[in-house]
Amino acid sequence: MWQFIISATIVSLTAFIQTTNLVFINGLKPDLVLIVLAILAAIHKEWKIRTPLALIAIFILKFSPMINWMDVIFAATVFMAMSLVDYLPWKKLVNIIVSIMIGTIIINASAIISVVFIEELLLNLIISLIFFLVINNLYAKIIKTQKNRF
Amino acid sequence: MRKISTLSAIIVLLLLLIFGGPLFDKKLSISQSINNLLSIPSSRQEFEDKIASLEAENLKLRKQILSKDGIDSVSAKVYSSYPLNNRSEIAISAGKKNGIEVGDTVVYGDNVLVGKITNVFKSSSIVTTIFDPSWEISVRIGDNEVDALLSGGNELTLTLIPKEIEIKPGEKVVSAGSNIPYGLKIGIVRSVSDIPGGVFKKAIVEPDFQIRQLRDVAIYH
Repeated sequence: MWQFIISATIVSLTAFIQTTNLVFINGLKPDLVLIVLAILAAIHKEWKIRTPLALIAIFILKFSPMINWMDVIFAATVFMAMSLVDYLPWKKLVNIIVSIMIGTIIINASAIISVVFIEELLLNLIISLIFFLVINNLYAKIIKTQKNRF
Repeated sequence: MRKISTLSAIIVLLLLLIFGGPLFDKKLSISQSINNLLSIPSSRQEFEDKIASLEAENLKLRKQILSKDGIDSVSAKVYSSYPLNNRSEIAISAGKKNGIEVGDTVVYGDNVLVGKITNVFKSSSIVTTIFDPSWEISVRIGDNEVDALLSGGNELTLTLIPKEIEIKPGEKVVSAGSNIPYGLKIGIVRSVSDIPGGVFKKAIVEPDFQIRQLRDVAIYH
């Protein structure tokens, strides 16, 4: 239960931050929510935890009161990225990075052949590595604390 | 029991996603609160930028007060910006109840063009900015008022500039499109290049503002 609450808090905060003007790096916004959800998918294997986390993020990121095509595409991308973390055959970190890269390509399908897209891919890659280290260590400590308690 | 509560939570979230439209304004104001909480200027340059934009806005407001032909405008706060990079939109705190309509022009500071209203709700609106990949308007360059077409995106590009006409870096670019007030500032020419084998040349524009600077905007009817 505590792990879900912490994950939901991380996802909510990340999603709200992604809608602000604070995360512009060289005129680009990194796909923080996609990165966080892919990493949390590696930690939470059950879809009954992954699904609410994804839905919370999609609700916060929705940029109009109605659902439009971009919301559907983003939702599909997020669920696909979380699935790929399970199905790709490599190590956990590599699976996460590859699923984030594929997610980034799908979201930006209309502008793949551009310098901006390459910059965004690189930005997402660097932030994935940083977030993976932080979130993985955080959950390792939480699990260790819970084990020591019992 | 756990399965039922998990399923219920998922159903509630799905319903929120589909029918949570009325919560949109509340969500935007939470975004704005987080933005205000976390955006502490961390460098002298940011303070100086802020002072410059406030002075420009003060000057504009003084001109309006003294001018006999007042401009019909509404001011609004910027709530948030579109979360992904394939579009450039901002949400502002003025909507139908403030008289905002689709197509209204949005400016920043001293008449710097930000974009146009593309969606209006009860107390908020969505603005498509000049950085959106779909943005295109006619513009004029420099004192000679050379016609060109401005295309949006992460890099603002001027096209359809006749090859024989000389354009220099540093020349001002202003709006000249239909449905937008004439002469709104867009930026300055940063570089000019020839298109091989073409009859036109192109230029890159250095915009007069960045999305992350936006806190307050004015909407012209």
